Amino acid sequence: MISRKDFSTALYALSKAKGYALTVILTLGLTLGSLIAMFNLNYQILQAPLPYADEEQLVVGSTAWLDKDGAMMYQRMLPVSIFRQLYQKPAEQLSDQALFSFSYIGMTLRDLPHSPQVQIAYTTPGYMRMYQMPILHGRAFSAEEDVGSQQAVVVLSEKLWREHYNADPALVGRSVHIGNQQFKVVGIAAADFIEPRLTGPGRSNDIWLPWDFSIGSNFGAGDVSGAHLYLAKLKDASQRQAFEQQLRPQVASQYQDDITALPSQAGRSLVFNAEPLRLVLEGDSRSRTLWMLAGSLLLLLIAAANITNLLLSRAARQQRNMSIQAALGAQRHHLLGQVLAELSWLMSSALLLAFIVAEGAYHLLQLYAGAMLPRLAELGFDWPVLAFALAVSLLLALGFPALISRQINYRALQQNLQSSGKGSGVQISSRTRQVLIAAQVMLAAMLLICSAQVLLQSLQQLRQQVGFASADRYQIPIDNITATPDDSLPSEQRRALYRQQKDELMQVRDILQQHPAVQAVSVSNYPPISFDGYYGSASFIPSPDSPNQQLFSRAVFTDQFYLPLFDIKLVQGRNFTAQEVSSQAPVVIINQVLAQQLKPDGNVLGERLYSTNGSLAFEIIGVSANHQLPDVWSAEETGRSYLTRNIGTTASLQLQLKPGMQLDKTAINQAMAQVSPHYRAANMHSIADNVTRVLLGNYLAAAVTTSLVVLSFLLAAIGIYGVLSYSVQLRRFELGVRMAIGARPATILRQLLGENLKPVCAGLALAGLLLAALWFGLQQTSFIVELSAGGFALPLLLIVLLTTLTSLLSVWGIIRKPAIYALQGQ
Amino acid sequence: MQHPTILMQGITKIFATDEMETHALRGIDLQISSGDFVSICGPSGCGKSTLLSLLGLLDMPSGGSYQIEGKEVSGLSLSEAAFIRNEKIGFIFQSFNLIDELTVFDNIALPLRYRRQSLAKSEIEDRVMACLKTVDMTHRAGHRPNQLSGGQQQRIAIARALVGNPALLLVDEPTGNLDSRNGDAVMDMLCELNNKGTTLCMVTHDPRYADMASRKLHLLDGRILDSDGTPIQQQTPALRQVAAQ
Repeated sequence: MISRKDFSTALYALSKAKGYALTVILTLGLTLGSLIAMFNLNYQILQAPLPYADEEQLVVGSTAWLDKDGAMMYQRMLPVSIFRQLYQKPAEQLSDQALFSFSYIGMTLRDLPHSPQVQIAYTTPGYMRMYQMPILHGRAFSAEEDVGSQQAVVVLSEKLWREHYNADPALVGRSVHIGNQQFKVVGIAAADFIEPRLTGPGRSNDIWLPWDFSIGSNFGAGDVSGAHLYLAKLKDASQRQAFEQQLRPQVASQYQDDITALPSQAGRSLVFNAEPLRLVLEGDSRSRTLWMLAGSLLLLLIAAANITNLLLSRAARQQRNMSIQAALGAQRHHLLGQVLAELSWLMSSALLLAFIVAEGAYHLLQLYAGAMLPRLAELGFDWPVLAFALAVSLLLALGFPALISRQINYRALQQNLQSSGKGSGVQISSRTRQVLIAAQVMLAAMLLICSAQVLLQSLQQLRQQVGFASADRYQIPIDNITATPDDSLPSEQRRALYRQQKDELMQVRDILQQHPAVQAVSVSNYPPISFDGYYGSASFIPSPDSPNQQLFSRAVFTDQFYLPLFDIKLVQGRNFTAQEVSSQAPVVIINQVLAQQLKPDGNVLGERLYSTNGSLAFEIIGVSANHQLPDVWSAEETGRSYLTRNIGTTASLQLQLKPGMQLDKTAINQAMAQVSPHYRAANMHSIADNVTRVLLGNYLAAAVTTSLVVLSFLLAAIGIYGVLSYSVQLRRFELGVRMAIGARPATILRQLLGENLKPVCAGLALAGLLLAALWFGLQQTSFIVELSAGGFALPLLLIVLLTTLTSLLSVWGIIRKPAIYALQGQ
Repeated sequence: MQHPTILMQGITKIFATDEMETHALRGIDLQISSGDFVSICGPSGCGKSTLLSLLGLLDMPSGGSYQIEGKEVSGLSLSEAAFIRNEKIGFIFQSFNLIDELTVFDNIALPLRYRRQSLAKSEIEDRVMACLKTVDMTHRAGHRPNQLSGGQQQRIAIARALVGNPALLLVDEPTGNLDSRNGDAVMDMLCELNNKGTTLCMVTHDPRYADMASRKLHLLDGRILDSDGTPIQQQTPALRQVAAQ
């Protein structure tokens, strides 16, 4: 059907219509590239096999922690002591198992002079077997290093080994100093090990230690940890529910026995779940990536409508050539052969560009969305993706000519020459043109409105003040190797030891405050937003008589410098005094949310909050303003409390530097060394970066939707201009006649605008109907959609403006010349 | 003093491309008075259509003076030219050039709807119906052009040209797309209009129809010739005198 000559003729013709060719290639390349990237992303997350054998048999065990009223408090927790026992007697459905935990306090490699912070996973030999950890040097954990062995051995990641130990193979067998202990290196994991990101896509581990060394491995009965998981491999994937059902009552009943002696836990319960590994890794990314796929598909549809318009427009411009060929005996398939040859060039160029665009998109996703979306590192060339790209391209390559062949009036082509070029010639029906404009506008309006709604929401969130200052503020997690006070010690003694640590850290604070670069320093467990997203918590009861009315809060154990350092406003009351901090006075500052939970009018100064067992009473001395920074844990501001109590194991320094000044870890370590050799600065995390990280979703949404808005607007502009310009080309003669009988340029423009606005309005109405249907559909789901008037008005205004401008542009070439040019088809 | 309907003096038209200039008209002097019936003949490429375009203000001359009823029109803007065309000139094309999407009535009413001052609906209706009556097509007012024969379409085109009461009717090969019977009928109609006082200027290849005009102009290589082949402006001092007034 297509000859070699067709290809060379098509190439020559395209070289003479560079603008047209570039528009088609860019339009299709960009949108097809986005679709390929989004398809790959979804494929990778939802369908691509995990890099572990028998993936369907791999499950992640944890328990949902339910409150007294049955409401879920936390989704994935583990009663450590129960699973320590279960680990010794695994269920019959399992072929392998592992306990897993991770570091959530500052840990450093103390044998290195710059003491780099490391992320640590604590696990058992089964982990390395189940996920087939490839070992570059040495070995994986052996059975001798299993639970209870207390063997101080370590497996390092290839990256850490290369970056900090110069890839020295002799490191295996030597010791490294992590925290307060020496660990013998038994193995280096190979670089191609793809670690299952069990704690979210943003975290990868540098070091694997035996589970015995994890915080909480010795937790007692009734303690529940959010930093532990139970990993298992089923003998058969179909046994997952049986396994779940078998463990559920065991865990629930054991937990009830464990909390009998703990009145504050009475009524709470645990429900064991064994989730497929894929679901855990996928997290909540499915809806996000599917929306992105839908958006890119819509873009491609708009692009396809555009290209159809452009192709029809080109066919109309080529009518004379086609007429001559038809007069010389060319059949419909001859003419289509030429169209196909041109399309082949355009499609192959666009496909090439699409792959480049997709590669760029992978790079951007890895750079900016790595902490939000799983498995991004695995994105890349893949056979299913190539097959998808080829299938879509083929569909388009066949769809376009089919559409054009239906629209080209072959008989009219033959008659065109008979009327000496003075007739109206070839025409593609005005109904088709109207439908194309309406379809174009409908798709563009839907995409623009949806994108604008998301964009405005994201911008609103980004513009909002977060409620505390973050510039020049830093969080310095402390690697503290002071021995943790033993549980067997009397509580008074333990408190005294923790108090000593806090006093030492306050000395460090006072030393640092003398540093010329430092504006202010505070000691606390966490800043308002932590680098790893974690926070401290404390629950209170409003009165010892109502132990069931628990009030949850994110708790900061700190000093009198914390609130001024972060510029957190007090709406009522006052800050702590130095005396209250040094005496750990029973006073508390709470935020407005917690104040209103306590008393709806929020006037709570002088009121008291009690510890959940009723033994401690804290006087409320101040009410702080709420923060406006939703995070992964809560979409709305929660209760917050500030106390002068001991900090525990998660101490960090909060530092405010003078503007333009810098400070490194060495200076902080020197200050710490003056007080105690136990402390090291694990890292310096910018609070502004922490805020940005939390807002990354909004930034990402804003960036994606801005791109969508710009791209869909550009596509709509190209498409609407294409179809209008094409329509005007076809009507050139008719417009010439109108001008000949006295129509002024303004009259012609007004008339065209009136005509063009009809299909535009139809398209907008259709878009409105579809969006209303979508909105009603979303009402039936758990999606919360907030609509803003601006998100509707702006796209509508843009489209009307676009139609006006494109109408003017398309007819400008005709109305600014004497009528004879239009009559002569020039 | 009564101005001639058309007065052209030294009109030239040059089409220029990057490589060459084509002189389509080389100094045309032409006067058409009210009630004249002028036919313009000549071989292909002699400039007939170009002259008709300039006469109808569809294009602007490269040089010379052009007056319609005493008003200089050679340098008008596109918008002003459109107004003059609408009020003073009626066009009849070889291929009728009716607009397919409009009914016969709306096609004829079109020039009235482009008027500088809009006309009342009833007036438009009266004038359209009067013109339809003139061409004997009142029964086809609601039809579309593609439902009519070629002869009928040309009669509608004539009605459209007449509806604005133009000072001049420009006719481009009115019978070119018609068989001889319909061609004769159209020419009879044009003659009758001329007899009633309508000023006509017609381009035609057909000597039979050209002879029906009261004045016959021959064009060759962009110049108007006398019957012996001499450029006519060299022999008409009287015309020059008129132009000088």
